[in-house]
Amino acid sequence: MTEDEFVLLVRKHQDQVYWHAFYLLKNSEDAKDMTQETFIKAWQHRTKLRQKTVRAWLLKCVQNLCFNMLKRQKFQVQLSEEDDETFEMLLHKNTHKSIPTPDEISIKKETKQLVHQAIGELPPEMRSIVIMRELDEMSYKEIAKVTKQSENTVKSTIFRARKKLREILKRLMEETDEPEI
Amino acid sequence: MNQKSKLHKTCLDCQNLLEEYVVGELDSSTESKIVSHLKTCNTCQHELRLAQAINTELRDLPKPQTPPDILTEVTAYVKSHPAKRGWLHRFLNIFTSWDHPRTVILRFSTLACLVGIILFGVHQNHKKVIAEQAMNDFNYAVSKIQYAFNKTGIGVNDSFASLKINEASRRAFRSTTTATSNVATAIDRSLGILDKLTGNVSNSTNPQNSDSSLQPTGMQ
Repeated sequence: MTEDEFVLLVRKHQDQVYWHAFYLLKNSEDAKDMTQETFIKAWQHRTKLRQKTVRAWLLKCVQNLCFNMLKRQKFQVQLSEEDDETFEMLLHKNTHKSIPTPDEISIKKETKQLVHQAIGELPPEMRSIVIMRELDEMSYKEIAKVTKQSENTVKSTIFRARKKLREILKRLMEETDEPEI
Repeated sequence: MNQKSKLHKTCLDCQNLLEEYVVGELDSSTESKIVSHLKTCNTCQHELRLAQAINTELRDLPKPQTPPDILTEVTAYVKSHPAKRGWLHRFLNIFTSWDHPRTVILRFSTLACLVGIILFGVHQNHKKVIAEQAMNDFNYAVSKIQYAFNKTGIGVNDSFASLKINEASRRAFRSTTTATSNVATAIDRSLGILDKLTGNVSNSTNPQNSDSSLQPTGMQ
């Protein structure tokens, strides 16, 4: 693989790798560092990379790096209220989409925030699979390749994650006295 | 109580399948059961609304903007750590690129070397074949000679063996002769000494009889 070919590969996959790191670490600076480290590792192991499996390799690599970082720093899954920039704010700050209208904010802001908070409370392994499925729109088969699990395991993990999200959301609504949806 | 637990079990079953129902991954019979239960159960309806809200949010997850300096920094790293070509890659590259005159010279010299190596190998092989053939011829000739000896009644190996035996016996004879002569000399000397001793004794006791005792009886 030449330098130019590798730069093309970075252009193609950098978004997906960064999103993955961002949702796992919930911090744009750390996510950026992990994304860069992933591509540097990919360059160092370029002889092992294959066109068909490069995406799975990159996602597995960023996933491992993020898990290691979370373990190392004993990363707080749920961001504290004292944080200057919450995960939600970061999302809206860095998102491709336009800023939501005041009406949308008034109707769904709280629910959105609670759902995102609930996503943040998921265990990293579950969150990673949910991100691959929902954000990257990967098939069960593709996720199974990345996580080296069976398709059935991946599928059941996704539904377990959704159930867990529902439980967390219910608890959060009770805590904040959110009116019923 | 029984009714209550049954109802509770139905709600649990329903709520366990809500995510699959929302995504549309249930078979038609299970789906119809869920729908009929949802019509009558407010608790499960509330759970369904939560599951739907989560589904909507998951489908609409915001995609954070990737910082542009990721590409810049990775590209800078790649440029500062260029790919090191292995010897095989460089060797094969000689045959695939024509962009430099030096490459052409390298290509022809490499080809010449390759041809030389191949010719040398062929030559060595030819020499080996000739040597093997000569050895076979020699073995054939030896077998023919042996056959001839066998026909005449003298084996090649026997004659060699007899030659060896003769040589050994000659050596043994030589050493035996030497030993015998040594023994004879020793006997002569010892007899001489004995004679001297007996002569002295007889002379001292009876000098007259000493000569007669030595003489033969017939002469007396």
